Amino acid sequence: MTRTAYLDYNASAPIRPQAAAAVAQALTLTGNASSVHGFGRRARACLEDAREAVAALVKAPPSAVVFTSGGTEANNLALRGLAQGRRVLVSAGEHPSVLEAIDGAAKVPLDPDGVIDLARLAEMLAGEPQPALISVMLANNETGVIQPLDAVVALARQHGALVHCDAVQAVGKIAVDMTDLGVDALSVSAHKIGGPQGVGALVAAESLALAPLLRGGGQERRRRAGTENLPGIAGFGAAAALAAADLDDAPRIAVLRDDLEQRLHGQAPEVVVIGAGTARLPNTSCVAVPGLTAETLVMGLDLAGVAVSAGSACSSGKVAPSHVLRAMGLGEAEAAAAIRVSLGWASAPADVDHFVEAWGEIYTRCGAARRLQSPAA
Amino acid sequence: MTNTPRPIYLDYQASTPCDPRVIETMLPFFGERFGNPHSVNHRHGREAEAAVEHARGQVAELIGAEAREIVFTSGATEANNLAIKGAARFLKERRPHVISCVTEHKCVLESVRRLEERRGARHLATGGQQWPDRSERLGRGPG
Repeated sequence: MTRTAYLDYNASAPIRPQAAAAVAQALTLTGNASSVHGFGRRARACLEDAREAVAALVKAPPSAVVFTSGGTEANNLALRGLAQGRRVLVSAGEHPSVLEAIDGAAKVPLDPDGVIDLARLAEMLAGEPQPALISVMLANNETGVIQPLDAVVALARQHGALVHCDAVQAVGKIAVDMTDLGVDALSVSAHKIGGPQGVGALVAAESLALAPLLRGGGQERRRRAGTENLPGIAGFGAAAALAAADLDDAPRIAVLRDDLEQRLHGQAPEVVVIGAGTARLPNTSCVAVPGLTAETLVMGLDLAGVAVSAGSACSSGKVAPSHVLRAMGLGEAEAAAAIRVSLGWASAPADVDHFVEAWGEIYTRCGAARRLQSPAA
Repeated sequence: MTNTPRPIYLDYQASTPCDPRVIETMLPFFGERFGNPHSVNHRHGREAEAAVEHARGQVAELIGAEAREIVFTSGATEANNLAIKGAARFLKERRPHVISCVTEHKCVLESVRRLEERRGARHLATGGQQWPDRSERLGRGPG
């Protein structure tokens, strides 16, 4: 088998074997979790075990967990379900599932490090006659930049605003404690933490008025209709338990990531690490070499068996440069050069070696061409 | 009932046991084939995308539709919500007129009720009966 390295955990993490086993086990369970017979009760028990594990991962009560079809639905449910006449303020670097969830949301700008402009947020809140709903992600999917949620929540409290936090990329990589954060609602996704695709959750206190997106039966405490995705939820629960226990692994991953960045810098001193000036997730590296397009790199790396992303997976296939990088003030050419390398639970030093080697070959190969194109540089 | 040696399952309308051949098809995607179907910039993603498109063709064939007509959802509740609320969004009439049957599934009736609340939709529920008492009809129960 050819040598491969998967370094695209922020797009989707490989499923953890125990999570896969939980899915396989649940697939053999017969019954609808809403049915009152023995089959249904067993399905229900499996569902509630998973709910406890997901709640424990973000230190929330199980009753706050609303299972959804993933992070996108959780974000849509939060914005549309909590807005209800409130003015909606979102950071300019949010995931498209937040930016697109609701019409007319106002965007709070980012500073050059990718951090939300708190002074601007304060101004916007002060100028707002109606109560607001603020949505700010805990960590960015493209850059890994961590947002100061404590300061956002403090401002929100002064103005009677609700706060939703998209924690899809942060959970499992840094400790997330919903009570400490003080946010009203939090989105999480299974496949970013080594669980299956197609399942996530919005975590929001049961007492919070949340208008459902999907209407029908009374599942999920009447906050999300539809028969629960039992195999997916079972896998989510198993992955959540492992991710909580695995937070100790974060320093190991940070060492791999830092080593990767240092070795790129050693080969190419002009390498720019985006967001390096502020707190970042331990697993994410967004790197650019001026003049070397992400498209060239990602394609070359793919041929060498290395999987990384250009910007976020959700923007792949589109020509438009990343809205996150543009919001940080990067020029079009700089943004078009950025690739995202993201590591996780199964990443090993050999993956970094393979990446650095393959990256170096493409860099050297393209170097001569770049120098010809821009002799002044 | 839990003491019965071999329980008999006769509730296929609520949920059917998953066919072992279906489970067999699914399992590789909970293993080495874990890519995000949207990550078309590397082989893991392209492989996942190909699997999604293969399945889209299979679902289309089952109902005599074209693959491009299939929108995957999280289930029938989401599909019915999407059909009713999604279609109403594009109707020119400010107060759409909705005709359904009193025996429709809860997720249809509740979606229509939402249109009544939000858009003032006029709902004609056919079936020769009055609109059922909602508190009774819309209670929790297996799909």
